[in-house]
Amino acid sequence: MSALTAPPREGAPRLAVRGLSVRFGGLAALDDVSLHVDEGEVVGLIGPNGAGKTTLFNAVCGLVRPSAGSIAVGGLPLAPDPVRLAARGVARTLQGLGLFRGLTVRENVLAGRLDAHDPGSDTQRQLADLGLAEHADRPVGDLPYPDQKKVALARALVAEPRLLLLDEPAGGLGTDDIAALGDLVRHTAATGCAVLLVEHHVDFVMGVCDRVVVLDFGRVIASGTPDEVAGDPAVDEAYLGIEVTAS
Amino acid sequence: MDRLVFLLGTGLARGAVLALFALALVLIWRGARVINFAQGAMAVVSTYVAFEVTSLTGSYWLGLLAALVSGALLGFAVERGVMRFASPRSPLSGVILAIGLVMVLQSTLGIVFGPDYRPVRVPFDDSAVLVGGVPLLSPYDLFVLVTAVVVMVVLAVLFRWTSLGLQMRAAAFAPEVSRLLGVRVSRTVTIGWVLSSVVGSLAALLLVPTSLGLNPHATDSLFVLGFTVAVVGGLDSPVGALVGGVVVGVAMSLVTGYLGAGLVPLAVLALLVLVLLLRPAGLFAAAAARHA
Repeated sequence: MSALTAPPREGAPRLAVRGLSVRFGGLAALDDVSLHVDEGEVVGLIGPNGAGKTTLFNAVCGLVRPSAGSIAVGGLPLAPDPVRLAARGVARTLQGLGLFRGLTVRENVLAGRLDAHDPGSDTQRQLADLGLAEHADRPVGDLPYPDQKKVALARALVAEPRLLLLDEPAGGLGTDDIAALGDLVRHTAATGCAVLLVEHHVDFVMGVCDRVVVLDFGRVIASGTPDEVAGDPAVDEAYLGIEVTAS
Repeated sequence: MDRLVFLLGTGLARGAVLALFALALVLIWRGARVINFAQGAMAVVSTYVAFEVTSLTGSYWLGLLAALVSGALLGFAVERGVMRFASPRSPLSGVILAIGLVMVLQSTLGIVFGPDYRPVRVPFDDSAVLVGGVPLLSPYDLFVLVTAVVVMVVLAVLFRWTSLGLQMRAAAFAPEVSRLLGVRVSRTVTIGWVLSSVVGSLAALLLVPTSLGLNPHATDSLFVLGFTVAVVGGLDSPVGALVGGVVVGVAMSLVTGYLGAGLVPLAVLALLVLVLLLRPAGLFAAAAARHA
């Protein structure tokens, strides 16, 4: 599988999305969206429900086909085939976690490292890093939800991805767990991984991201540092204002 | 007491074959969520191939090898050529395709080989060995038992300790997520069918010498019993298939020995009804969800 791993081009962003449009029938889920994520950078993708955040993830993963635009990972265009993602160094977590419920914690994490010759030691280390080692041989379905989320994260991290896509990583977690998650995301980025995350939890996004991209009705309405975006009136109107009063 | 030991021994060997056949059904159910009603017909095709090869070469072992190879090819062809086109939205479409396949395969065998029962040579002595004056297993029974155990150990190792096994189990639980992790799901499904067909063919090949002989319908009762075993054990559970096979095999042997062979079908159906009433998901279903 390593033969399929394309070498990243020097200086190219880890993820470059240009002019991406996705249509479901007459509805434009994404309309001319461009964004990029560089090495070691954490970029947050926010916006109201239905703004197209998960659709963008799905397009990057090859689960939906764009009607226009291009997606490149490490400067090379991405084949619209989910199976090749792992070989290109892309890992993703899912909103529904997508764990293999009948398998043990260890087996779930091992499944994130299918191409390795000796995945056992990487898996063991990853489990220990996230404090899951004592649960390694339990069926994943027996764990409480926050621990299951950790397993999903471990499965993505164990592949040592070059690009990590996190779909609502803080959803359903308590304050302490969210703080730990923030540290983990920053730590992962510090190793050189590019992180793109979709999240509703505004404080988490503002605290952990280098840059924030705001989507509304499938279009990018603002992007910049957390401070720049938070001060943007268009963002307040479309998203932050609603979220802040709601919470 | 001697009689009981003998009946338990034969029942165990019989049960091992049933367990193998049930395991073949479980493999496909787990991998593709289809109950393969064509399992018996596919297995009888491989047994005919074995029979022909053995009569041409005079070697039982070449026949056995031919059965395994033809079983693998048949599993591949059936998945890629037929079952792949079953609608994932309707569980019935796979069942109907499989039943159609049964008719095609059995009719073709009838046309080519005729409907007669052909006696099949046993590679070993078929009479029971006396241990301390007590009739125990025949060498053939022992061969059947050892073969079944070896196959089960190989499968257990494959599924539990290899990357391919992990991929097959992952793909069975969540195919979409598995794709994202780099599992080629259509490939693991095909491998599941090939494995299952090989195991099913082996079960039929082991059974036929102890039954009436080879005939296009020689595996009909094997399918019914194997299906019962799979349901009793839980369709999701390989361990269930193993234990279910032994339970049904020994029960059949005891009923034959003490009550008469005529009561066997009734006893098996009674067991099926009992399990469906008490544990509809099978004896090992819950355990399977936790440990498989």
